[in-house]
Amino acid sequence: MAQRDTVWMRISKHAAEKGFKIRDFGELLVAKFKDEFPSIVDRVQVTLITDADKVEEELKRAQEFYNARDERLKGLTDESVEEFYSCILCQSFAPNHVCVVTPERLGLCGAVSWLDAKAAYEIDATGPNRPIKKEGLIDEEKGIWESTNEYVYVNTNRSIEECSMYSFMDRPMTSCGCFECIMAILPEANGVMITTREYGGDTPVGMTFSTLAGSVGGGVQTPGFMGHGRAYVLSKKFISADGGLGRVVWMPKELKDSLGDELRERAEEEGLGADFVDKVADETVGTTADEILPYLEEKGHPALTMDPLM
Amino acid sequence: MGLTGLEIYKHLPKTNCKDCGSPTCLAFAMALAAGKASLDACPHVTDEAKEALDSASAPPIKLVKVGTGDHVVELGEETEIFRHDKRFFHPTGVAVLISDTEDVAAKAEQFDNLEFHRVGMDFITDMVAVKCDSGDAAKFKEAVETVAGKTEKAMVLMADDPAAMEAALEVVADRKPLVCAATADNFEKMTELAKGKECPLVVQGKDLNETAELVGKVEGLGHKDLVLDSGARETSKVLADLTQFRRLAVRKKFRPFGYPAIAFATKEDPREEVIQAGVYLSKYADVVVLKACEKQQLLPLLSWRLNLYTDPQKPIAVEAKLYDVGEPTEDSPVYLTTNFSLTYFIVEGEVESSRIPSRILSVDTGGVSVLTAYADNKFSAETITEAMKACGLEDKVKHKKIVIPGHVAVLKGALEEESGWEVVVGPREASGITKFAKDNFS
Repeated sequence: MAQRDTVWMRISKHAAEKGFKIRDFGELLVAKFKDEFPSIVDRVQVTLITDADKVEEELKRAQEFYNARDERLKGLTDESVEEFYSCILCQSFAPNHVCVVTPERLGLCGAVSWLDAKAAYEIDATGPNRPIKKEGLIDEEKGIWESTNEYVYVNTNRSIEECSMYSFMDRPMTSCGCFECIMAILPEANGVMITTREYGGDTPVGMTFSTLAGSVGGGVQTPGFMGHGRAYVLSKKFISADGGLGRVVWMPKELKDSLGDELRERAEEEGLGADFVDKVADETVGTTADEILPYLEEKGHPALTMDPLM
Repeated sequence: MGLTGLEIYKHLPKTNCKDCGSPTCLAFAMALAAGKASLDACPHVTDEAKEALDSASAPPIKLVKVGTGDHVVELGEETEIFRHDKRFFHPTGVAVLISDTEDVAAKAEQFDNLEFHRVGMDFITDMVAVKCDSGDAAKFKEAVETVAGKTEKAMVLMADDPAAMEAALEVVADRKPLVCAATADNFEKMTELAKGKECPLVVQGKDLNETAELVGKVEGLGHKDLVLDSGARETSKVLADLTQFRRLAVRKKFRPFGYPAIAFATKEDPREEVIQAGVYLSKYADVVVLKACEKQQLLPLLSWRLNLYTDPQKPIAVEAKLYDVGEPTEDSPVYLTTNFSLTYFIVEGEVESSRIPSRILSVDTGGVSVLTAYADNKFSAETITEAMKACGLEDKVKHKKIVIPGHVAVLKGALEEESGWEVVVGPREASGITKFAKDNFS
């Protein structure tokens, strides 16, 4: 599950011996585009670039498109739209999971933004993304609507009755299996920690990404734990019902670095101060609650004095 | 639906002492929630917390046992509404009804002989119900005594008159029969009897509401080994009530319905009666009582029960080993297949009907069929050769010839090279085995 420039593919030696060529990726792409988008695609040409310098150069051009799309999405808020979109792409393996994709909360795989879902719906109205009208507000803070509840209930085979958009503690959204990150409550610090698919090591809750994935995945509601996309950390709606970004006490260094300046900006916007990012512990500080608590206290992490999570 | 990890965590010591083997209390709580750990692993949990967790994690439907010794039938402790969500645990007890007004000894004998062996499994009618139709306590007692003398299987005693029940219990109480039934009119006396003899008790209301109310009253008298009967007898109504029992118990944790349920087939025509019983067995009777007592009538019901209560998450497998069909000699042919039970038994049936004593080597493919196993590399020249060596095939037959399924003819070359045996490509479908065997081995 990846898109943009994060797709990795490797050809095994075995496949190469049997005659697989890089050209075959192109053939596959052509076939797939024609198959998936017959209503908008007539002819397809694929150019594969193998010159590393040329790739770097073209990547810059691609980045401009990515950025433009991100900027467009940034202008959108959950309040400013009439409808959210569902994503049930993962139901082939997690039949009781539904992602509700909002402008400020992308699919937990990180690959489906609100704009992507909207476009997908416009291309294929019977596909995995469908509009959910925002109707019958139940709880504004937690993000619960009658219409989203109803959609989730029907499409989770009647197993999830209610689901909140902005809380990971109270009836959180379910997780399929392809989440980029998993957040977990860290009761000792009255906060939340985030680990990523890329970070395979131990975390302060005592569970690795794969152990956590095993217990939160598969379309079940697991209060205190939730799969999410990397970009969700930067959203104004990031667990906003539970205290937002200020709750984050630990994340892998790699995630911190990759979110970088944007994370600093968000922290400032939230009134947490630009140095908030440095108050968040990572694996270089420690991977157990005991190791990171003194650090959080020393730095004066805001989560320690926030309302109790439990 | 158990507790969430977070709810469990609230009751734990929160010291992260690691004595349970988990790195943190939260990790342990998550393992508990997933059923991958036991609370006993935590040496520091307080008694109050233990009690709170035990009662909250108690199964939504209580386990009730009927019978003694080798013939205990376990009912209830189900956690699912749909089998595919996990599995169903305790197969419905199928009880054959004997009235005290018919030839009790003859039917009891017929009942006790009901056993079927098919596809390597035993199909057993596990309960017998004796009903007081005569209205005569002495006659009922005699009938119960006769049945008890003919069979050791678990019993259901059906009488509305506490006096008749008391008489019957005098002779069979130590067999822990299911006492049927406590109604609004007799529940005080029936509860006293059942409780006194520590026998499970059916609580029969006139509808769902009255049943719930009556359960409360019986529990109030201190008896908690109960089985539910909503009183309905019309098929669709019984189905609806059984469904409500299960839904309310599992989804809403409605405690009065947290017991197994019993249903009674009422149709006179045995065929219709079996169909009716099949409906109840499917959803969600834990005991079903019917009059039919002929093998051909009961076998479909027992087969259906077997299908319902197997674990859908595990392919049904037979033991992977070398099987003899007939009395093979060192010249007999050897067939090769996987250990998926459907595949194996079809092959076995065909080999058997060829009337040529043979051996079948069932390779461990994790219970999947020939082509699936081949695609997954579990049925390859290497795994097959290993299986051939493991069972000592070389010492059992003189020839070095093995028949492989036609669908994996492509394996021939690789297998000959790996095993050094001559590989004969058999028919693609098992139905061709008989002819194949006659053409090649007779």
